Amino acid sequence: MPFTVHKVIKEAHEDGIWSVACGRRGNKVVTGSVDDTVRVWNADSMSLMHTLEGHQLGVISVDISPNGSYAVSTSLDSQIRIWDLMSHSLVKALEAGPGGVPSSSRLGANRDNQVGSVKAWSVVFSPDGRQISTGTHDGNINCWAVETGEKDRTLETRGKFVMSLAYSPNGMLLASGAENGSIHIFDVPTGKLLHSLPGHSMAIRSMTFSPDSQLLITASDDRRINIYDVHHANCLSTLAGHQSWVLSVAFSPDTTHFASGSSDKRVKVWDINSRQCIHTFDTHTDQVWGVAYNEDGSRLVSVSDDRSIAVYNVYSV
Amino acid sequence: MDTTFEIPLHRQGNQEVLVVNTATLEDPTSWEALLNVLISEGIQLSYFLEFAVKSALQYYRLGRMETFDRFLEAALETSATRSGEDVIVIQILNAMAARSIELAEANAAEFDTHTANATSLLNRAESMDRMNLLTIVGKANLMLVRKQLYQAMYSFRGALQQDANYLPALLGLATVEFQKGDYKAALMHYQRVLVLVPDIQPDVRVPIGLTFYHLGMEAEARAAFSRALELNPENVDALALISVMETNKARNPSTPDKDRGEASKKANSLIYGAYSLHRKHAVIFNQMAERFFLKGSDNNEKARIMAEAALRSATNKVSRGDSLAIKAKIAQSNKRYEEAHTLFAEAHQLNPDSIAIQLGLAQSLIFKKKYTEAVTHLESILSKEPNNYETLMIAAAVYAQVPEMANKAADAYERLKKLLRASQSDGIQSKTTPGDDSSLNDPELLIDIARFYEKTDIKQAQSALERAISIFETTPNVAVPPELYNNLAVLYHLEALKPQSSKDAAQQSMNAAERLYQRAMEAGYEGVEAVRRIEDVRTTIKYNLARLSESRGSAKGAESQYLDILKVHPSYVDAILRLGCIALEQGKIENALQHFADALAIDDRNVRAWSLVAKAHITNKMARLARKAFEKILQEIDKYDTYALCHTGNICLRFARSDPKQCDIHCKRAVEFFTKALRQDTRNVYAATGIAIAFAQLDKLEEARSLFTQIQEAASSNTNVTVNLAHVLVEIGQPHAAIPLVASTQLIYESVVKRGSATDLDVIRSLARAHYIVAKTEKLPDVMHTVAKRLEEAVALSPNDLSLKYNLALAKQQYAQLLNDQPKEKRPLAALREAVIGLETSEKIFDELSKRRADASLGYDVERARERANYSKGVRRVTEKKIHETEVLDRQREDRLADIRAKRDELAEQKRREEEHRRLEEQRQQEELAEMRRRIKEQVQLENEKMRIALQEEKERAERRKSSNRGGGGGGGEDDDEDEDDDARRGDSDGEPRRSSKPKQKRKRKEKPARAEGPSSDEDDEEMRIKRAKSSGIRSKLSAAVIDSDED
Repeated sequence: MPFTVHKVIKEAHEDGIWSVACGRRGNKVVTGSVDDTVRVWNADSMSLMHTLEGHQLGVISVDISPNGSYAVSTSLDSQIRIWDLMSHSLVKALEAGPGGVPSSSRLGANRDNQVGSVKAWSVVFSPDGRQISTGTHDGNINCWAVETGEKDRTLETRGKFVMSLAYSPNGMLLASGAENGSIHIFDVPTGKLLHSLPGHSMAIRSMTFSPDSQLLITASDDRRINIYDVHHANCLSTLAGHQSWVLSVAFSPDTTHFASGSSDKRVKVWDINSRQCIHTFDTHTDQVWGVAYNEDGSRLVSVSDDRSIAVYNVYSV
Repeated sequence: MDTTFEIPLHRQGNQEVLVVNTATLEDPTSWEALLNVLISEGIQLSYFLEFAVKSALQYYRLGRMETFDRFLEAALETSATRSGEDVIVIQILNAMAARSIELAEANAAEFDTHTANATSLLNRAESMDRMNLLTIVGKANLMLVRKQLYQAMYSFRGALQQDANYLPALLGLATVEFQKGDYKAALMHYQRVLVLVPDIQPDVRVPIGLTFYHLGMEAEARAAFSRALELNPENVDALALISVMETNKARNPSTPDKDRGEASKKANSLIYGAYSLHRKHAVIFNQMAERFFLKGSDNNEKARIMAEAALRSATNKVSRGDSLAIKAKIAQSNKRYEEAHTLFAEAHQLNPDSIAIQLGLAQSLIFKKKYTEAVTHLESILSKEPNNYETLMIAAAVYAQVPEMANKAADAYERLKKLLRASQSDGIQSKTTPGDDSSLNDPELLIDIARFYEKTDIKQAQSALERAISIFETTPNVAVPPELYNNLAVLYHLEALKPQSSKDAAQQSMNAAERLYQRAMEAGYEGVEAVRRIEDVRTTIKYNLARLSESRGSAKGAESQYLDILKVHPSYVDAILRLGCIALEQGKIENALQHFADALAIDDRNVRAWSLVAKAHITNKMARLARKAFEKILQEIDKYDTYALCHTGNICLRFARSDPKQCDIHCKRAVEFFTKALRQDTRNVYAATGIAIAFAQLDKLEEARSLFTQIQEAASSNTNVTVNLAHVLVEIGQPHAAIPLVASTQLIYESVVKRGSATDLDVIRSLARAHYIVAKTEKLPDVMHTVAKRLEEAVALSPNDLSLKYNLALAKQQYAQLLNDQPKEKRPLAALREAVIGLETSEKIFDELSKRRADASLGYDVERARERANYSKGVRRVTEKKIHETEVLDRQREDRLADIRAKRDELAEQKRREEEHRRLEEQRQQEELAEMRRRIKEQVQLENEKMRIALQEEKERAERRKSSNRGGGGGGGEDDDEDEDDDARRGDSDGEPRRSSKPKQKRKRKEKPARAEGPSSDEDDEEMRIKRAKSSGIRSKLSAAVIDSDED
């Protein structure tokens, strides 16, 4: 059997887990939960290494820098926190509020954060690791410099709330998915809007590029997963199979598979060539908020509202 | 019969006789001459009558009744000039009346004139003699014709009281009873006639046979007919009736096959025999017509001619009805359905008791889609014959057509199955077990069953259809109609779409469906006329295949398939609508609306298209436009469309919510729409729910609750209803603080969440609300904490909903508030600190929310948000104060603890020091002792030395050896010390077996001071640290325990 459940960590957080990221280097897994904490796990043993505290409302999104030394997390109250994964300490707390003035004080950072309309939702590291990008309520994408904590630039979709973001692995493209299902693709060097892709009618909560940066895969509340040819801006396929919102997608580094997690509590693995679901994991007992592959694509991690983390063996077929 | 008559001519006493030779009477003109003679010679009236009857008998077969009439009329005319022949006149009058009655019976069109004629004649006879039996019976006969059965019976009985054996009255009474359906009484009277006059003509055995037949005694009936035939082989009535019996026997499905053929043959020969005997007998005509009709469509014309001939010659209603029914059947087979319907209706009027005719009428009604009328007919048939297979099947099919009668249909099918099983177990192959569809061998019934169950029970429909197909497949020379494959495929497809079917099962079902569609495409009809039909069917299959692609999630494939269909059939509305639906699903609302508009351009009265337009508008949040579309349906197309009614009701409810001023009006309107919908479909859950919601909206919570409870009992799997019920329970629970109620609704909500609608925001929100109420009324900060967490989840699901943020901020604020109100021991510092952070968050959220422009669509009140932000500040101050208080308290406590600890430590230290001191003292003493000993030893040694020196001088050699031994002992002093050290070391490592009873530590402590000063102090330090760590560990545990207990 190429697909087996490797391990399930029950009660990995004190409440539902909303996001997961696997480090490309350093062999770490980072999870963010509604219990306001970010946890760092050893990817091999899946033992808890550290709990990072400081967020006040649930942690929506986490990402690990390409070099594996930093993690970034955002919470419902629009805090962006950058953590050092070596020392397990807070590097910066960015205030994604209206002023945009970063408060880099290590202590008491939680005292003066701007909360309100969502200024930061999901967060991603750029492939060069120098920037992080967040989507905002008013349809903008803010790019922050990791080094200084300054806001570098703002890309405007002139659309609705940007709920998901993805950089192409070659660093050239940045895709955004909005609450109303619209998708925008920006050229990273110039900041120009290249394409707007139609196809979804409901919120897009997750998106991922293929390792060759040719395909974009999107997960939507309309229960469908779309595969787009990025350069020709057309939808190659629409995959149905989940019985509820698709909350998360992740592309396998083996370039032939991708995984999806859904409100229907299932994790599905899809074959990119046949565009068929080739396996369904029914491990979780509540909606699956996040899926992520490890560096060589041999393992898949999923996190769920049932407070558990599941690790699967997904050897290439 | 005599060949000559002698008629006395009363001419002045002459004995002249007019001799009439009957042989000459073959010529009609001779009758005229005879009549003239009779009139001119003034011959007795009785002869008139006699000749009239004779002529009638003579010409009955030729149907020449004119002479009869002429004679009687002439007699009546002459009677006016004469007197004393009243009896004869009465007889003549009666004869004429009887003739009129006969005419009336035979000729429905002139029924009234003839009966009126008969009435006047009889009245005249009655005026001449009131008690004349003949007249009484004549009047009774007239009543009989007029269907005044009871009056007729009364008259006949009156006649019989005068003469108990008066044959016409007896026969009349028998007829009345026969017509009333009292066959036993009729039989009795007929038998009495037979006893009185065994050779009565026409043979009374025929009606006796008929009564036997009606009593279900077929053997006796047959015997009666046969006896009649024996007596008179040319009794056509008997012949015809036996033939009918044979035909029925041949048609009865329970008759063994070989008997059937025989019976059919026998019936044939009988009917032809009868036909050759009597060419004007209606029953025979009918039989002939039926035979021709059954021979096939080529003989329809002959059959029609026969039936019409029968109609012409028929005198009674039953046989006329039969002929009409045959004509109707012919019309039906010639596809002239309207004509068939009128004919059947006419026939039914003539013979309301005939099941065959009623069935035909019902069928024609079904064809005209007048189902309710058809059902009354079918049910009346079934009340007469509850096990009539054909009728049951038709009835079931009709029931299945009409939604209100669906439950009856299920009954009917069960009965049909039972019937079939029963008839099978009667037959040879009774191997099949009951409850198994495989016993059903009638593909038509199976198809009907499948059609009936396709909406309610897909599995059963599937098995029925599969069975039907396998029957078709195994039957040689019969191709399976592609529709069957198609329908079965659709069933599989539907099964795959069921929400409860698992992914794999759905996949399998879809694959099966696809295979079947393919087979349907390959299957074909035979014959040329089928080409068009097959084209239609194939288009349908193509459409279904496209639907299948859609269900498989391949919207693109489906789209191209629909477009393919539209290329061939550009006005295939369904395909256009599906294209619109695909667009709608992809969120291209404009595109979808365009498709729907296209569809409406083809058919602007398409309810589905309008509904979809409305749906698109709803998706686009354009409630008013949606309502317009629904109004279009309701006002112009179908004012009973339940879908449109329910949706319009829902839109009204939405308006009611957004427009609090006119809430009542909107709610009432909504209730009107829902009520209309309910009237159409009494089981419409949505309409019922809508009404309940309107009640809830109008604050009639108890009513709403009882309604929701009822609905939930009826449709327990409907989560919407469950949620609504929970809402209402929460509402009811709130004012009376009925916490158990609210708590139980939490369970309901949670069960709903568990049932897989985890992404249902409303449920999470409601759950949070229920928790909130509990937290507020029971003052439980922890519950409030969960409220905040649930709301955070809700915000994550719908980040755009500002009211959720407002609530989240409120929950955070209330958490702090509740903590503030807790007694001191129940508010740990950690929780308070958390609360303060939450309050800051809350304040900021409120602040942010209050800065927005006021708008009803925000979902909260900006002003209130501002107030809340300020309030949060206030609460925070209080909380901070409490924190300070608690901190102070804690510090004091800690200080006290520290004091105590310090004291304890000090004490311990003192003790230790004392002990140390004591030990040092001891040691010193020991050392002193040792010193003393050493000194004494030294002194002794010294003494010894002295002595040795003294002795050496005396005995030098011997003494030296001894003194060297002693010297070893002296070195042993040092050795002794070393030994002690060794001992100590051993004790450290192994423990001392010799002093095992003593604790190790004591020994250790004893040891330590003996060691160097430096390390000992170090070790002490370490011990202290451990101790401190331990105590602090205990403290943290304690506080954790406090938290725990709080959480509890």
